[in-house]
Amino acid sequence: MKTNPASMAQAIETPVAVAVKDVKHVYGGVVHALGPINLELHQGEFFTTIGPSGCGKTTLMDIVAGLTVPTDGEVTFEGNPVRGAVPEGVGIVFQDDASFPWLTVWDNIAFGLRRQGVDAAEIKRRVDYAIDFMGLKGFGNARPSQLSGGMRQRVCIARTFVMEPRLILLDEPFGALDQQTRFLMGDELLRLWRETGATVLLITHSLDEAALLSDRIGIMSARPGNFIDIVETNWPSDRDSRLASGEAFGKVTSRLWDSLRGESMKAMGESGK
Amino acid sequence: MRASSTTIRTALLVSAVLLLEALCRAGVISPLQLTAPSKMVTTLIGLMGEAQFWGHAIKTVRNIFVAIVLAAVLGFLIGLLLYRLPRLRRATEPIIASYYALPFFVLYPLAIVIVGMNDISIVIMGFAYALVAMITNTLSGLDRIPPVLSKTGRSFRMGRLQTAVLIQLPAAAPYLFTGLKLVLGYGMAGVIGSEFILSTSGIGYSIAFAYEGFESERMYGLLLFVILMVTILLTGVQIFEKRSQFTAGASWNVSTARKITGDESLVTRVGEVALVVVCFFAIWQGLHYVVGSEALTSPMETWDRARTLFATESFWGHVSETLRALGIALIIAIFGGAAIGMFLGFNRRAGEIFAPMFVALQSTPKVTLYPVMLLFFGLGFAAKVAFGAIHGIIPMTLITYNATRSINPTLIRTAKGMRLSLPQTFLTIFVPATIPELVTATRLSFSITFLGVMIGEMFASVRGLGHLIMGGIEVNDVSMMISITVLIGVFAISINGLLLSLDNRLHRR
Repeated sequence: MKTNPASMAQAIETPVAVAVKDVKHVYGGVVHALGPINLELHQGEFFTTIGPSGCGKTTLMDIVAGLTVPTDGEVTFEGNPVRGAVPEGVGIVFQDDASFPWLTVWDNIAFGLRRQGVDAAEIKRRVDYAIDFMGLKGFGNARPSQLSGGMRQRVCIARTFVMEPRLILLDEPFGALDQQTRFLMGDELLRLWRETGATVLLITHSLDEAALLSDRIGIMSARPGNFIDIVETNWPSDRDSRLASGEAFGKVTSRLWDSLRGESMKAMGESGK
Repeated sequence: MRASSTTIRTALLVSAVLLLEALCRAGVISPLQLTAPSKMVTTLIGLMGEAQFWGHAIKTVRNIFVAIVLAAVLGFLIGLLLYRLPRLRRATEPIIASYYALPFFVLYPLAIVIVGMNDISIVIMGFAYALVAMITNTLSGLDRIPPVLSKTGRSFRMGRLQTAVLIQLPAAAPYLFTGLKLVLGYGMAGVIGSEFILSTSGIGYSIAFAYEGFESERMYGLLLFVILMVTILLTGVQIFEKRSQFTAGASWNVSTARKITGDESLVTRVGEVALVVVCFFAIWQGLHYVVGSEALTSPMETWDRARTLFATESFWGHVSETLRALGIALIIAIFGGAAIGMFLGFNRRAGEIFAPMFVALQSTPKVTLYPVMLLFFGLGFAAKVAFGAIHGIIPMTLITYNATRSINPTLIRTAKGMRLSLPQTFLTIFVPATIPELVTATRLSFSITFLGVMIGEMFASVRGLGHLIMGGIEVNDVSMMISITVLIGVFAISINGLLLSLDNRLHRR
């Protein structure tokens, strides 16, 4: 497997997709959850945020998505400020099961496209393709209650990807899955990412997942969350889970754990109080 | 291969009917108490040939239909409003929670004065009785929508209305259907009950008329008609529910999604309650101006009457009679219901067979069973205790059953892993795990048992507060009627408020 020496230079040359400037968030005037934090995501980059429980990872994602208005600071997407509403071109996959139990798998995936008024033939093309691609073939008429947790999450991912978003936000999308399934889902995610060329911001607890999937990994401190380290992996863009057996992979995960260990202990100590 | 639960349930029901038939034919059960099932059918078929019967039936069905449609639509809208205004909701919660403990038949004279003695007053009674069931179920449905679904709506850049129609409504639908089924049951109970007690037409009236004329057979034929009607309507809603495919998500954790009321200071909360009380008196006074003292005495007049009433010794005799009946009925309903519910919850097979029967009983208008109770227990104390207990035991059983069924199986395995004995497991695992739900069940069962006792006293007793209210209705002593109703209301709301705060505290754990 060849490494990708161009990735650093590429990161500098490609335009900025998302800019987070001095963003700070305080809940209810008391809990200082996040920042002030700064971050720039380059177009087509796969960026992962990792950090101890309760460090404000989800808050950061909600702010970037436009679901939460930050107490202070500014977020821009493609140069336009994001504030209180999800901008066009952004797709989100949540941690919790967000499939609609009253719709079939097919209708779930078509949901967003129908809202946008995409014509029927195009919806059919994209949804059928997504069902194939996500390994849901034969389940188009099934309801979410008939599927496993992993398959339901794939429905939610497909529902977001058929919209062909330019920025994809994923909040622990594989949180409920077992390790093997997580790796395979990670491969599918990489495949989708390569195919669409979208910018990805992923939030995860898993060191392996972060090390495997990302171009860059931002390690967050205990609350109030901020980046204490940003690790570049220099993986090739055609990578997959076979990376996990290589030596370089072990180096990345141990570096992540070195930075994270102290913060995780701080977070545990705080919750133990 | 084991027979399915439905098959067993059907077989049990059929054999129960056959047993009744045999007992009746053998003369073990007197024909004055119970008519043989075959005779009920033939009587009903005979009744269906009478034009007069259809006159009553059509009237009743139409009134029920109007009452339930109104209650479902307005109940949904009010539920939505309260959901949007959490402070109003918190302030009115004890009233809504105690609603079904109030002997709502006392509203009937008021309804008659406002709209006249006609079908509209009957419809109002059915509507008023069913409305709150829809409100509470709309609220539970909205409370239990996982926040992630609303977030998904926003992520697709949907507006408020779009989110409401395309996400919130279908997500709350399973609870709305439960509400609709309850509305059906309460609406029927309200309409048929009012006809039974206070009207001169309709199926409810026909039942009362047959009962009073010792026409047992005719009465049972009519009761069979009511049961058929309930079954058809409920089945209709169930088919509609099934076809519409609105089922709750497999991963939605219902028990933890419970909405917890906020932690505002005591002063704010007292202020909110004070506001509700002030509004209550303002509406009362206002209504009094509109309808006059013949229908509704003013708060001051009522207070004067209450003072003289409370000073008499015989009044407290009635109070203690009611409390005694309520106490015994509650003990039967709460302990009996908890025991049956736990048994059905532990014994999976028994649960699958019997639980649906309790669900069906839940939505039968029990008022119409009152003559049956009287035939078996006679006029007096036993009948009203029995009537209170059958009202309360059904919700108690169902909630306990669901709570027992939903105990985390890992807890049971933990108990086995710790080698706990059965009594130890019961005391250290089952009781603490189900206690919040048991408190909820007790609260609901208190209200409904109280209502049962009151109805019992109103229509077949010569003692107790219910009897006094009925006396007030007959001689048109409005001020006495209202003072007792308010007293009952204050009692029911206080007990409910206490149980509600205990309930909320336990569910917060």
